[in-house]
Amino acid sequence: MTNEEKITMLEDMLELDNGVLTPETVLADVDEYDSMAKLSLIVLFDDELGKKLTGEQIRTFKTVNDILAAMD
Amino acid sequence: MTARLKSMLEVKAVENSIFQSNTYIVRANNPSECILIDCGDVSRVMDLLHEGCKIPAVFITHAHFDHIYGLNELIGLFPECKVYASAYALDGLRDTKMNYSRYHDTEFVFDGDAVEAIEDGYLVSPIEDLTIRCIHTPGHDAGCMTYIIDGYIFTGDSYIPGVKTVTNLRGNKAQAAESEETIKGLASKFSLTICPGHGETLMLDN
Repeated sequence: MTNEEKITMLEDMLELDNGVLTPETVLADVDEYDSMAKLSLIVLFDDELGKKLTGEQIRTFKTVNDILAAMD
Repeated sequence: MTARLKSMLEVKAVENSIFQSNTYIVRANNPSECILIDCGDVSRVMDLLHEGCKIPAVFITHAHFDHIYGLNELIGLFPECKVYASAYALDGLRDTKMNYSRYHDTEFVFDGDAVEAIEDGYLVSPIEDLTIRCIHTPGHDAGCMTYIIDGYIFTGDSYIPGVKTVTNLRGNKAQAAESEETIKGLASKFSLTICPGHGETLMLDN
């Protein structure tokens, strides 16, 4: 999966228009990235990637790029 | 919160400890039996019940963990209690992935056998003088049901006044918008008090 495809997946999850997020986007600046979105992220990792994402990992995410790296 | 209508319907809201979801206790004229809408902290429900009051039925709006986690404890106290929900939600009661409990500290799987699948348009009368109209309101979750009892509409997470409906947990945004319009239309047309799955009850302005 390319970075563009991963970002589109994240934008869909956050119900954002395509093109809003970049790898450099700071998560703290995204209003939609709230506690429910973090649960959605855990579910997305489980459903789409077959990976277990922990709360501890989520706490280390500062930018979109951090999430992309965890998706590999 | 306690309210009474002409039919002597009594509705009490209980705020649960997990995600502040709401359980509602509903009873009609007979003080010895009531039903629940969703089930979280059973101890908080028991604190509000009349002595000797039985709970023969619980209606689930949708099978997300915060709306169902008390069911096993409830069935332990009231073995005759039947769980009503959509077929999709009944599957979710026994699947930690569908009910999201696998992402919480404690996984939840429903232990009971007394269940009944309900569908859109069903009328169910589990106790005397009380009829529940079931409405399928998918979007937040495919199995979401909304229930109308007399002047009240219990919306679960299909419509929480002032809150955007969450659809990014395997939900469907278009269906959620349609369901919200359905609920608001019914609430307005019949002057129903909205009892959501989280937050305060509300009556819409016509």
